[in-house]
Amino acid sequence: MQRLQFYFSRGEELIYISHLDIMRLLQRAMRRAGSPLAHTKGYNPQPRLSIAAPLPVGVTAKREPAEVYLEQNISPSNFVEDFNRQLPRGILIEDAVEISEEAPPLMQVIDAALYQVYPFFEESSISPEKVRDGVEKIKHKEEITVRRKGKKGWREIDIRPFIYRLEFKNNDGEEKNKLELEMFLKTGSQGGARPGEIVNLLGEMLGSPQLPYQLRLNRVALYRRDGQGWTPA
Amino acid sequence: MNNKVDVDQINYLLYQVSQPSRYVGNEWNAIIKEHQQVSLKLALAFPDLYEVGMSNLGLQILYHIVNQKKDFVAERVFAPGTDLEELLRREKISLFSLETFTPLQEFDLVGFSLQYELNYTNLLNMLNLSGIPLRSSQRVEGPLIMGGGGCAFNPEPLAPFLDILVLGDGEEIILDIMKRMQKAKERGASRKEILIELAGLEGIYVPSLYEPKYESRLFTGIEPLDPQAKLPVNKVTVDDLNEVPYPSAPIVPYKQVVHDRGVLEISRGCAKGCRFCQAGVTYRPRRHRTVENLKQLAVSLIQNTGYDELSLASLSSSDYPSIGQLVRELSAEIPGWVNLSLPSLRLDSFSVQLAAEVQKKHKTSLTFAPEAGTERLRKVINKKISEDEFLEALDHAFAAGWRMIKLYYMVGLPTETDEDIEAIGDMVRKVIDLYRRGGYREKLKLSVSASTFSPKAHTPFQWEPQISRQEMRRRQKLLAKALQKMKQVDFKWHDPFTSCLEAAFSRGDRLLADVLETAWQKGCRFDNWTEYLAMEKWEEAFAEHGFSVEEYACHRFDHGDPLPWEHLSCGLSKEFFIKEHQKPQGAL
Repeated sequence: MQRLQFYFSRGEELIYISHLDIMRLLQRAMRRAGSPLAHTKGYNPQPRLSIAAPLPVGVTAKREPAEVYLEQNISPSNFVEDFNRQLPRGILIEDAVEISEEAPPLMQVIDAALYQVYPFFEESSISPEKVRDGVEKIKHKEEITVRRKGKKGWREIDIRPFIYRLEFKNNDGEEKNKLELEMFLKTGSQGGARPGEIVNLLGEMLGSPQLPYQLRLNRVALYRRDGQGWTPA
Repeated sequence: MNNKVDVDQINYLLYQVSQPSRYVGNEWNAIIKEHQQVSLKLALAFPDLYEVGMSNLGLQILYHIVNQKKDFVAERVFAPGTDLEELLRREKISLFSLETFTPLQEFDLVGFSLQYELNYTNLLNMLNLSGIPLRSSQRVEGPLIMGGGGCAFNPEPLAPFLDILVLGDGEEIILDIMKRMQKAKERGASRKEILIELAGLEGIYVPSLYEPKYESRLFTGIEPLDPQAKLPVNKVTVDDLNEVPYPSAPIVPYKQVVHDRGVLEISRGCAKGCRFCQAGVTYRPRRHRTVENLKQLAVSLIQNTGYDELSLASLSSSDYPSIGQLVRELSAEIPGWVNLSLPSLRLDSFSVQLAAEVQKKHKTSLTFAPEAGTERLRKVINKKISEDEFLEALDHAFAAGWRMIKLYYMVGLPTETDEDIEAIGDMVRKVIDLYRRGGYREKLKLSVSASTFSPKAHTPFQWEPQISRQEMRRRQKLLAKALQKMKQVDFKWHDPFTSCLEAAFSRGDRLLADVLETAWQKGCRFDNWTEYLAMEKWEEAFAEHGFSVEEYACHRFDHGDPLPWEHLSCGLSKEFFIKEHQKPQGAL
């Protein structure tokens, strides 16, 4: 048995497919590649493949960790090469490393995600300076309440503790007029903040709502807790 | 609306709809060609949602065959969900193909798959969303609109909207049609000239070259308007399935579709002669792929898709001549993680043993269709299965480990009495008793579903009326009562109005086209989805043209009456159908 951790990226072509679609896509691609996927034991065997954190629809990603168990050992570089030959445009395996079978499951260790956020406000006259001020105001808030729809209806939660870092980026040159924010947010099973929620809040503060289909999001990397700081997962 | 829909527009649309993965294209094995490199473009159109259309084998077969040709391209288009429709209309964006986001009107040929009468409003809607005039007579340019598939054998309610119809197997004729169109295009032939030329091909019906006649709105016959218009039009069939291409690299959807697995068509046609069944007639004769051919196809299909399930498809898979050998040899050939499934099983012990042999991993559920509750009624419909055989098969199924059984029945069959319906309850009780006697520890789950008999064109029961909606509800109640004390049973029945519409359109004449167009104008879409079916709009549409749904659905034809679909032939004579219709009278 071999446990491999691999990283994949997702481009614009595939932002509309769901987490479960990606799972199916990866499983089928691995089978086509002839990778010896291990399965769970029992009544209904499932491939032992998991993704660190579900990737929301509409978001591109640079480096999403995932892990897989294989029946036979193969070299990580061969695994990546065979895998990539079976993947459609829009998804690519960046690299893979062998990890110890004793290491905790990836899903349990993920604590934070780094996003590049490109908002686009309805009113094009909003200046970068105004947006920068808005960002500063958000950072100084002690509580940020958002409404989310759960299984038991709507509920309110405070996402302020989940915003680890929020920054307005200065763009020079060609992309001068393109707004860019960087967000480092808590994510995972213990709760988290969503970039869209923060952009919506910003839009409300600026008096110009964010048009959802014009918001571009890129997840740069996922992080695990490491003492007082974080390291890439 | 002349150019391709651009990426920004697509993004703008997809961000705003639910289930955007229906519209992204770019799936594994999808084929994308430069349009400058081909001389003829076909859009394969399916008048239902992506997840339904992508489960259709015919679509994958034709996609594969046409795209194998260097000069041709085939792309896909499905009915957009109501949310996307709203956006397309608001933003004045044409419905587009998934491969290259090309508007439908840019194609040379648009081929609709006609699988179900309740998709017809979607067909009109898709034409309209593409800026294509609905009626053949209004179209002076743009693609030819073609229809094929099961419902093409009575296409009269759609006749004014379609330029050509294909009767029978599409594998060979699709290329004949495209080659003729390619040549006609080169020499600059007119639309009418092309249609007349295509009408000369075996299997092609060009509705505009025929004129139906009526007397006080009752169909009296049809007249050809051109020497090329054949009478009757015969269907085409592929002689040897092994000789025609099969999609061993089908498109693998991202989204989970209705049949999310590899499909191997092992046979075409059916050995049975159920008198209500249209597929059993139109897919004649029975043909099989060889074990050798299927083994090769199975191996490459799994390699090319990565599917972990392979379904052996046919109208009755246990009737494949060497099914045992096929299953054993396939199992030996394909990887261990592939699960074989046999979808349409005969109701006998042999089939159950076979199913047990292939479904090694997890035994989900077994589905059987006894159709009727008494042996008398099963004889009337020619479903040859005795109660003893039925119970013996189930006994085997329980012993092999199945705990979930689905039983399909039909209510409203010709000659049905209340006793026949109550007998369904007895039959189900015997199943429960049988299970109890077996002393199995787990709970038994029985799903019983009752559809309503809808008479179909080209079947021995084509003359028979459907029961009224009121009567459907009465009989459903009777059946529910017969099953009510059995807590193992989950009873489902079909919506009466759905059955009623299906019956009206499956035997309808050309006068129904106006009703259909009116219903579409009133907003009818996705009539096969109960949450969308708008009964009142449909009833208004019928009434505005002076009809009622029941007038069509509950009509009894006499053997001497001209039938609106008789100019189309599936290869069986009227005498045969009359004989088959009269046979069960002795069983009354």
